[in-house]
Amino acid sequence: MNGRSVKLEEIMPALQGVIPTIVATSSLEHTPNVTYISQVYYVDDNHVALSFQFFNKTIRNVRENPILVAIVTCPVQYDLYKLVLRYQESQTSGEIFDNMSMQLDALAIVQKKEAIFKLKAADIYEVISIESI
Amino acid sequence: MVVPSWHVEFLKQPLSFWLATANLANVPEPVKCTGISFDPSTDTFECFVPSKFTKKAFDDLKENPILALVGVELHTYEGYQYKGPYLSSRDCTAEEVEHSYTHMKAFSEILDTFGYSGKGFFKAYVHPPFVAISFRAEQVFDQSPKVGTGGEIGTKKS
Repeated sequence: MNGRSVKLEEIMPALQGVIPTIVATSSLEHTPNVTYISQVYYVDDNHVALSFQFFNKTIRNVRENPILVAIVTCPVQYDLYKLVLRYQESQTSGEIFDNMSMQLDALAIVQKKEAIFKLKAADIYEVISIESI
Repeated sequence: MVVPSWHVEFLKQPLSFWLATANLANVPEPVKCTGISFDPSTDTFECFVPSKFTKKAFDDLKENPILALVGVELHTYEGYQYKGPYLSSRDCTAEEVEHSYTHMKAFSEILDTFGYSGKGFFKAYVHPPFVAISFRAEQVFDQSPKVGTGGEIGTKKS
């Protein structure tokens, strides 16, 4: 997927959690994994937070190999962006966690899936690159 | 066989399909898949993918020939992930291209019911020409969102 590079603030509509994000990770043994996550949350110009809801393969992979690639979709123009991210830390309290938890609770009520949309942690990632695809 | 027999019907639905590869530096690549065909007698998937999205994936496959495919049903989030060795790739036949269009049209109609623009998604993902990428599933995982998700439900016996 080749495309032009863009800045995080240019893709804010794609970070509102309207359309689920696809994420790919890799184990240390080079085995890929791909799944959906509910939220990519804007932290600052160089960081995003991803919702950690279950201890699954994605979480296991990024704890041993911190690179994650996400595809986010703008809900207005349906432009696609590929974000290459590096895992930094996991937060279980604080402003970012509280805001993400609140958004997720709202999503859970709308979709009647409260048990699924429970935030365990806000995982903070450094943005390495973004490209329009 | 590794893939449970009831998956044959599950996989015929207009699911959201995504592939992933990874290079030897462990940098992954998600790739939109616009349709699949599955042969239960050999556990082999053929995944139809717009060529536009495949450059890094093919570079990855040259050095690390392993693929992951996830299929998710959008109403229930029921989903399964299939992993195994890459077999081959080729241009899609006219029939497979037609299958991709039919699959993505049905998928877009589901998205319309969620309030998304099905047309918007269609425009974002459907870009001919398409290639067919084949791999053999040797592991199957339950991907449905729940406590304990990611459990292995099928594996190749050595």
